[in-house]
Amino acid sequence: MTLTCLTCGGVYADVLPDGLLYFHACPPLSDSEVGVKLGLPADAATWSPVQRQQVAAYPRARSNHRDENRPGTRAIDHNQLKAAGQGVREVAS
Amino acid sequence: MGSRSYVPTLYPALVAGAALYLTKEDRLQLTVRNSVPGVTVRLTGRFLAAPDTEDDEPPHVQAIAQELTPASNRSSSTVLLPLGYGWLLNAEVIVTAGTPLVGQCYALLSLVRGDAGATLDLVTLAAGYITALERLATPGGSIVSALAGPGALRSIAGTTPGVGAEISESVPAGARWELLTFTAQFVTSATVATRNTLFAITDGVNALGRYPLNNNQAAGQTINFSVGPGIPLMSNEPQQGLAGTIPVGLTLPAGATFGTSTVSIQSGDQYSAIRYLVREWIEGA
Repeated sequence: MTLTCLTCGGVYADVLPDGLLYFHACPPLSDSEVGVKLGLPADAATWSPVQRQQVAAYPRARSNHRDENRPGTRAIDHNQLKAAGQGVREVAS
Repeated sequence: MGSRSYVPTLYPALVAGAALYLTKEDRLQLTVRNSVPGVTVRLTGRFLAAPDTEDDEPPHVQAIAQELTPASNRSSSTVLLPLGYGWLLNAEVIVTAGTPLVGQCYALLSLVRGDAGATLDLVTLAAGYITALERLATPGGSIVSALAGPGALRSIAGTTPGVGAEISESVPAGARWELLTFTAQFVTSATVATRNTLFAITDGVNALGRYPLNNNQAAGQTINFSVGPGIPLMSNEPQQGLAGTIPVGLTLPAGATFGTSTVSIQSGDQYSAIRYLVREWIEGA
């Protein structure tokens, strides 16, 4: 099944062609996403040195991120996610 | 007669190399860590049951057979088999359903005392990867680390990130990956800027390496790039494909990430067609 992560917008298959499970984890924020959060112009090339410093200093961890990896390999971790985030939506085929 | 148990001495001797004598409190334990869905593992063997009292039947050989359907996310799946008084003559473990490769289904056979959740591990009998052809056996089997051997080769399609976002792939819990090759496509929007992609590796939090591709990618361009160990950086004709390098033998633990970090990425830029080849082992903490 193809899924969209509602936190980061990433699209992925939860089961790969070899039958193994795929565990999606949201990427850290890109410079352009940080620019949007700071209300900077869309064109990063127009950012001033101060704005570039703001972007560089901004925390890259995505709030409410999704990480489908298991917390560990113990039996009690079997059905646990590291972080559920905002969930997923199935992509219509 | 009372319930006193006794040990007949005409049967397997209690000497080194002989069959293992078990008590009622001992359990044969099979622990499996597996990454492939649809796998069933079967534990079989022979057990020479000792009479519990002098009035019981003479010792006789019983067949052991126990199946386990392990989880497919590399977490531990365990089955405990109480056998009673007697000797474990032999045991083996084999995959009876599913098609795991070496590197994907690791089994550990041990003797423990107690029940689930409160067991005392007494001795490891055998450990190693199992497949439909390769068995784990005791006696005579060996104890092989899950990190030994050639591992399993896997071609993985990664997450296509949202527009303007970076690629980030993570090593799943219970796995160790050697990254062999990585490829993706980068399409830049019409916004004028020179993008430069770095192949970034982290331990999940901290940067471990950032390897520039020198793509100098302008607006409205599509570049396919590939990254691999020991490949020289080649960017004379980036439109025909770009090659970048990562360290030889780059082995990453669970939780580590790899992907892109792009200088001057624009909100309309798009990474896609992410695929990579890894060598995988089971690694449990």
